[in-house]
Amino acid sequence: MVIDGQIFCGMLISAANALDNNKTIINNMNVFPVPDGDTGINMTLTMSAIKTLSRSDGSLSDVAEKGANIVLRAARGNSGAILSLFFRGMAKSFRGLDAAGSTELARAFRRGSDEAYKAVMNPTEGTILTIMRTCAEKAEKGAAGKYADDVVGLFAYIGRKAEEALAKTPEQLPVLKEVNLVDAGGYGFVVILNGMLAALRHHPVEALSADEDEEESVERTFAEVSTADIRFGYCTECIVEKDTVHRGEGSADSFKHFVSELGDSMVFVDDEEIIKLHIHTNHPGRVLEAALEYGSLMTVKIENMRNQHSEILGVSTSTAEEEPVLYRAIPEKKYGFVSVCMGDGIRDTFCDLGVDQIIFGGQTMNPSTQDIIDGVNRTPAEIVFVLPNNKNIYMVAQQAATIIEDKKVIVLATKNVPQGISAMLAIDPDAELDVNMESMNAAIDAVKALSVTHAVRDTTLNDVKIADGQYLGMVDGKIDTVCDSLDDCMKQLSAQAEGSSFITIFYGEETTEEAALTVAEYFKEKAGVMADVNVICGGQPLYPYLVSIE
Amino acid sequence: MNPYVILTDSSGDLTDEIVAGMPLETVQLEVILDGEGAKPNCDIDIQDFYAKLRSKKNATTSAVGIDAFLAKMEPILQAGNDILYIGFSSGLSGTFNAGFVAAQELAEKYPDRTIATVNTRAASLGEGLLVYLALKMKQDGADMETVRQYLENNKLHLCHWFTVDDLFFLKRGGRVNAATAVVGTMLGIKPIMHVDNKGKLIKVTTAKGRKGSIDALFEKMKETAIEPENQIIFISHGDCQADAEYLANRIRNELHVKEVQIGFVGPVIGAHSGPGTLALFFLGTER
Repeated sequence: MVIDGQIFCGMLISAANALDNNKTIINNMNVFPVPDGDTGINMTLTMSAIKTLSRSDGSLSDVAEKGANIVLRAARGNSGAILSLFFRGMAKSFRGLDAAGSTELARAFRRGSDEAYKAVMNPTEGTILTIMRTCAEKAEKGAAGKYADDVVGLFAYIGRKAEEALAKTPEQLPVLKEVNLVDAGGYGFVVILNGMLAALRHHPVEALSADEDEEESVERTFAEVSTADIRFGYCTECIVEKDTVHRGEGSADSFKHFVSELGDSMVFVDDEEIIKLHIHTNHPGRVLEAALEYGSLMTVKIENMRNQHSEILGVSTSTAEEEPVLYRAIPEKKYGFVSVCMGDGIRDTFCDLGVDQIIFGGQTMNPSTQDIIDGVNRTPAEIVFVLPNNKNIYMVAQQAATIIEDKKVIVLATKNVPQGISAMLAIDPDAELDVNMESMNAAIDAVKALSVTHAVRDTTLNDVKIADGQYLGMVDGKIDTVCDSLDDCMKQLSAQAEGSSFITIFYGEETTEEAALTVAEYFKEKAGVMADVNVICGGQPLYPYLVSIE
Repeated sequence: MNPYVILTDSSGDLTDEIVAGMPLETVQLEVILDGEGAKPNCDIDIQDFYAKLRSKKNATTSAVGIDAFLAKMEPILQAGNDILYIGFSSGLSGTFNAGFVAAQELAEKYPDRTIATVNTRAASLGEGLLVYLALKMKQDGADMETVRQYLENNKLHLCHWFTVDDLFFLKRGGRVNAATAVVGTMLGIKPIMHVDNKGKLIKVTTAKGRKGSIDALFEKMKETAIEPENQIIFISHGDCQADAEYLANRIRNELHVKEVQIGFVGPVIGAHSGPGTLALFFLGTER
């Protein structure tokens, strides 16, 4: 047996379903006990776009290429970015092949792993990368030995080794051991492998229906995602009157089998004299052509389901297979800015600072490569700076930058909102690029970012006991204080303001202005009378306070 | 040669304290506060004025008219004096132009008198500092032409660096174009502005927060001041004495200037710059 395009396509879809069914588990494998676990959602959203692949998209080379492109554009979060690079590497390795045996599969794993490693500047062991590399090593070993002619066996072997590698991740990453978890991204990758294997064994993983999965992500309700979720665009129905040669019940088994590969939701009635067929497919023509071999078409009905769906939603039609329709703004100025952020007040602040395009996202809601590409395209400037404002969005932003060709795109390494704001304050619209780069990067380094959120479970981190519901005060992403009351937490954090002159406090959606003004007093006290302390209603979720200190 | 009188307008914000008894004539611009009618600049209580601006009362100003100049100048000429008029930037007000027209008219009527005019392209205590330097020279015996020449040669070295708390007032008064916006007003980003060689208000850069903006004024002076140890420095403020003192102390301690004088931004300028304006004036290599 070999893996051809159709089988590979089924494997990818099965993997996407498997992820979808497990995303909540993966989300909860967050090292920090903070309410922003998003690896599961990121990986799921990255992979679910693959469900738009149609089952008969040609050779393995073609399917892998299409699949990789879809995943690349849908990539969200670092885990999603790494995943997309893995599939990209696989696709490159499969280029030109109709099908793959063990040797080709092993090569593809190696290439995928290599491509993923290349993109990460400081690869950390004990993460998804380790699992990928282990898979590549074991695949090579298996293909050269026991599984040289058994691609299914090889895949199963790779899957087992991946699970073993995953179980070892706590030994490689001390922080995982401390919180007694395996790496979430690695776990997701193992889920993907298992999903692919299941399909290879003819038992592909089906998606659980939405009501079985209670934590359906909010953004999946966006209209465009929903239309993309319709994998097969045409509801095709026909009744065939069997010609004399084909009379008899069950005479059309091979037709049934052929059609079933062209779509889903099939209803097939193979009667004595007629065949009645209902199927959702992307190829109504092929269905009808094949039907003609058994007799004449009595009735035919074909409906475009995406159109219907779009009409219901009141949006224009766009099918997933088309290139997304893009609006490209013509450059009107030298510099433009795309910033990722959450919260109305923070958005307004960025707009006030001259940001052209805001991409909604941040903790728990990472934008995709395509979201960032769209933002850049809409920005009417020759040079577009992208401010990810989150370390988990940086990679995807860089990926977007490599895809965009007609504009110069520079991704700034802003890990949080305060850094993003400082970078915007440092820009001089009349200065040369290198001057601006230097001053923006210096500004990013000069700002101290405080954030406060609450723990979502009991844990011990760096020998500090943290109880569910306690407030965690973080300085530049590291836990600094753990308190039962938010007020105490801010009091302690205010020590960070000593000697500073410019402090901005963004209070979140769950905080009142009154409380924020009290907190501002703590900071004023530490910073001294001449310091400016601004209090802004940031409106961000999950984080009662974000504070920028300069 | 006739004796001469130095004449200025009230946008120079000079106080009796600064002038210290040196003879100076001043024409008054007028300020119109919401519902209170026009009042000459000198009749307004400055603290009360700023309190009213803070409570969002509208204030507008009117330039000195030709008539007012004629009325002020003619008696001086009749008494046998020449006149040196040192006036408010033509880039900001019609006052200087009115003075210039009045001077030409009177020149015909009094052919044996001289009326010299200097368009300082300056404002507030920047204009005031030029007037002050002229008064000092006169006191030391300089003739009118020498003083006029000095002013012409030095007026574009008279640097104005200032910050405002809220650009609203400058925009309302049409003193900066509407496009002069400060990015980051929500964050407390402040404009650092100056008066350019045309005598217009220009935003040069921005600073983070109030303290940042005051320090930026200091840095500008440090960059361009000519022999600060020999200079008298003027600072004017829109009812923010403490900030003015902070700036003055930095200048005294770090640049070792001869003297720092602090005064209010008067109602005429204050109506347009608003409360919280802080302005620094010194002689520098360029504006």
